[in-house]
Amino acid sequence: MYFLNKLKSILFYRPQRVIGWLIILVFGYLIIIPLLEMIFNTFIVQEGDVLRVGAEVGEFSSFYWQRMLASDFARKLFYEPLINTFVISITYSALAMSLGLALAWLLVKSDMPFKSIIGSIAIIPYILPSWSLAMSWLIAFRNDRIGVGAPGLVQAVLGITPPDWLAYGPIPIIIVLTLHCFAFTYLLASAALSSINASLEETALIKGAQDIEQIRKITLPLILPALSAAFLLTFARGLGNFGVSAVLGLPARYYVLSTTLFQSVKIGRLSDGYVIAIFLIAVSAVIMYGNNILIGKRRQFTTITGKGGRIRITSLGSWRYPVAYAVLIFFFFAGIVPILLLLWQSLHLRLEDFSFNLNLTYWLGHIDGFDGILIDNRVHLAAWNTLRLAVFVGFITAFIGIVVGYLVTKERGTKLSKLIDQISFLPYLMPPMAFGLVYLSMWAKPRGPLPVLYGTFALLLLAVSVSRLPFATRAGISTMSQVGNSLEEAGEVSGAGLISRFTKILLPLSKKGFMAGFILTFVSAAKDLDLVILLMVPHTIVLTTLSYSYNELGRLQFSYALAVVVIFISLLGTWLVRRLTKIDPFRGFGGIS
Amino acid sequence: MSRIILENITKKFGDTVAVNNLSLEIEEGEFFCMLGPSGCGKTTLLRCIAGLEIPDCGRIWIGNKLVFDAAKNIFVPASRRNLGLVFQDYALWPHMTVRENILFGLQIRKVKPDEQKKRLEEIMKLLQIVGLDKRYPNELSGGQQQRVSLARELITGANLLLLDEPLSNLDAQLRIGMRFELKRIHEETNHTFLYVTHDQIEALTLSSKTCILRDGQLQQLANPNEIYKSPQNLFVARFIGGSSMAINLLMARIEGEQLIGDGFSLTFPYLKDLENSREVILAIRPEEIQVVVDECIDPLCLPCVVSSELLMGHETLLQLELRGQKKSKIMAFYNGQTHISIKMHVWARIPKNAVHVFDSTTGLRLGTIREEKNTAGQSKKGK
Repeated sequence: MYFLNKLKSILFYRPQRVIGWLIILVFGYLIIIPLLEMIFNTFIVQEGDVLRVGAEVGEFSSFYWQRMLASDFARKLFYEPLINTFVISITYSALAMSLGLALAWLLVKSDMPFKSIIGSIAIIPYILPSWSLAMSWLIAFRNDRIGVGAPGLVQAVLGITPPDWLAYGPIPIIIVLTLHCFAFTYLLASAALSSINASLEETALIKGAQDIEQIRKITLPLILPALSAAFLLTFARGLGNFGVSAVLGLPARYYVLSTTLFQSVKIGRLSDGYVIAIFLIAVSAVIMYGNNILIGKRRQFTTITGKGGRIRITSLGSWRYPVAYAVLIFFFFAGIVPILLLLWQSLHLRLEDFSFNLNLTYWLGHIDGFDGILIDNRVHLAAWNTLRLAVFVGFITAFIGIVVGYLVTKERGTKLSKLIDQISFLPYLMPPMAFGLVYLSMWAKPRGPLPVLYGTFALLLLAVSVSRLPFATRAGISTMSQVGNSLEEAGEVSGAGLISRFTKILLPLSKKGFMAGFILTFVSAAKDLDLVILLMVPHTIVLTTLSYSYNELGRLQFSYALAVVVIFISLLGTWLVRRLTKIDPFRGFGGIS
Repeated sequence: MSRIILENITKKFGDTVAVNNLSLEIEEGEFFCMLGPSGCGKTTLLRCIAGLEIPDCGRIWIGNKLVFDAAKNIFVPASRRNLGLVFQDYALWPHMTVRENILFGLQIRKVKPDEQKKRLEEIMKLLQIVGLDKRYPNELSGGQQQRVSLARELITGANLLLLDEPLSNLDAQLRIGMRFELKRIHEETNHTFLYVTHDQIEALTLSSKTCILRDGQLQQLANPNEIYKSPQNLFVARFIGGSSMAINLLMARIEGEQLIGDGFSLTFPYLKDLENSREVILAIRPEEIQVVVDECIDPLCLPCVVSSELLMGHETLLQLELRGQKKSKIMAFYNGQTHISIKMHVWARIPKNAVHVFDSTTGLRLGTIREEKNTAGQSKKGK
């Protein structure tokens, strides 16, 4: 009787709690269960391995782990890719951080001119899908010895043959990932630099410190927590990168963990993939945990820097303009040239042709039994799939984001609020390829009332939505905490129930946040390759996977043309967010997409 | 050694002139206040002295050292001016303990560890923050942060301390306590304090000399008493007051020996020297007006009606209207025994030395009434 009354009172007075627990159940089912199941599967003999393992299907066995970690194959299958992955991740994170910090310093704390132009073009490489950046790297630096065997821009036009190490393997992967990701560290570093009140630095000067001493003893220690967070986040995302490593690594047989995982799954050795996926998830989780500790420390700093506001600007003197031009030229090459290269190649019949004889065959014509991308039925299907995937994902996640944001802010401080917050953040820990594999294994058989989802569009929708939850819920929480409690309470006092408060007060007030959330996940879903590549089947192809398949087939111009289309969607979406909502879409989150 | 001389300092930010051709001398050991409304250029001036801003023209001496000369391209950077600066937000480094914060300047100067320790103990005693040395700034209260920040600036032995609105982040009670503290520290150290504030009471209570700035220009430079007693222009009169109430302003016209306004006239013999029909503004502080309940035939009494009253604890603030003339309103304090009610008839007695007369167009002071011996005031209605 007591519990019944309690239940009644919760249902009546705090219906949001019921919704909250429902959300936790659903999220738990969609995120935690598949992970546990995958771990479990690596200890169970799978069909097709009966002979190799010497045990029956479903029996317990440590065969898969032994094979990956301690057999003769282990070096090729696991340790080499592992070392490659770490080398790439560490190097590119360090580079991205240095570049990001330098740019942030110039934009926040120097008197460099053209700040607003530079600020907006600096994020273009970040908006471009990382794999498209890798493709354009090859357009510039490939040589006629490896891969498609056609000379790139440098060889064809300048007559210099780029060495293999510059075209394929770790060096270009590191460079491309750095170019793609440093905008993220730049955004984190500039937020940190802007939060340093000028008085902190000026006091050091007055106490007799020289500029260098002041930077070393005051400025750097103050932004160090933000920098280490940026480093860890980029590092963690680097572990899971697939697109760049596939485009630039596979032709030279250079493997990282995610490409190894992809190859294992492709040849049907799912369990090998599981082991790698679990390893990747575990490493990411450890890193994120470390990051949370660091962020906890940083809070200490930000609460006492006073009212903020004034930022100390250092004069570059006569270097002002030279520096600004150098930065502009750099971004022209990092952000604009890649797009032009992709477009340029797609407008030529032969890859070695960089002349001005443009040709629309790959867009509108027919060649070798393939249709130009604008008239090809497969492309139409892919475009249709991309569009509906992005729209649905955008809408679903933006809506869930707002609801979760509401619950978390409304119940702030309670266990429920923390639990929702944490559980919706979990997908962020999972490298996309690992996440894809988790969903592949989970939905390969019917689950409860739900049928087998593998091979359906619904699976793409579900996987991409869940993987974007962290972004959407963070956005939702920040939107909702801006709305403020009193507005809703005023509605409550005038007698509005939960539903009408939500639809009549909260949703209208969070319209902008909703829009921003929608467009951002729309863009991110439209350019996703790493996650959907494992889940798609011929009739659920999207533009990115089609571009990737053309790239694998060596039909590069088709691939590039499709990349241009995806880039166009990404740029347009980002521009729309800025235009419509005045929200800077890239604060707070990093990722390779 | 820490006398400051500013000569024709001008500082512009784009088209805005923050400091306009300003010259000033600050004596050694002085508690000098720079007072003015926000945007008057006082902080900019302070930052120019600190070496954090470079003026567009002029010269600055600190002690006997020329630290800035626009004409000769001399600029000594902040790090070599050897002074202390307390910011409004204290600017304590959040990543350092109290001890590390205070010792920073000595470490930069490579002072020996023994000496550092000795000075740290002294300064912590002086500022009464003994025992806080291992704390981080965010573990301190506002008042403690303030003291640590003062300790950090004083420990280097710089005998010029610049303070930029140091008390404005404290709550009202702590602020009053810190005023006493600052006065004590100033007396104990005998350093030159240069104190920027927009709070006139802070300036009047703390300083040995105050300058008032407006739009980057000097309005008056004097000791606090003189500024209060004889404001040089209308701006100073309105800005400075003993109470939180705005000063009473009455329009009047000079006719012979009389000041004639709407519904009143006051007679002052020395006004004869001034041209007739000149328009003037009379400024009278509310706290200097005596409100009399019984009929008053004194020629300095103006008959009034109470139009509104606000009880403020130990006294009552009254809004008075001159009888028969509703436009002129006078604010005054009353702390007598009789109960005051609205519409009651009272008399406002205006002491002769309470009236400040300013030219209505230039706003400049037109002489001092209290210096005249035979000053007489008379109201029309009193006749």
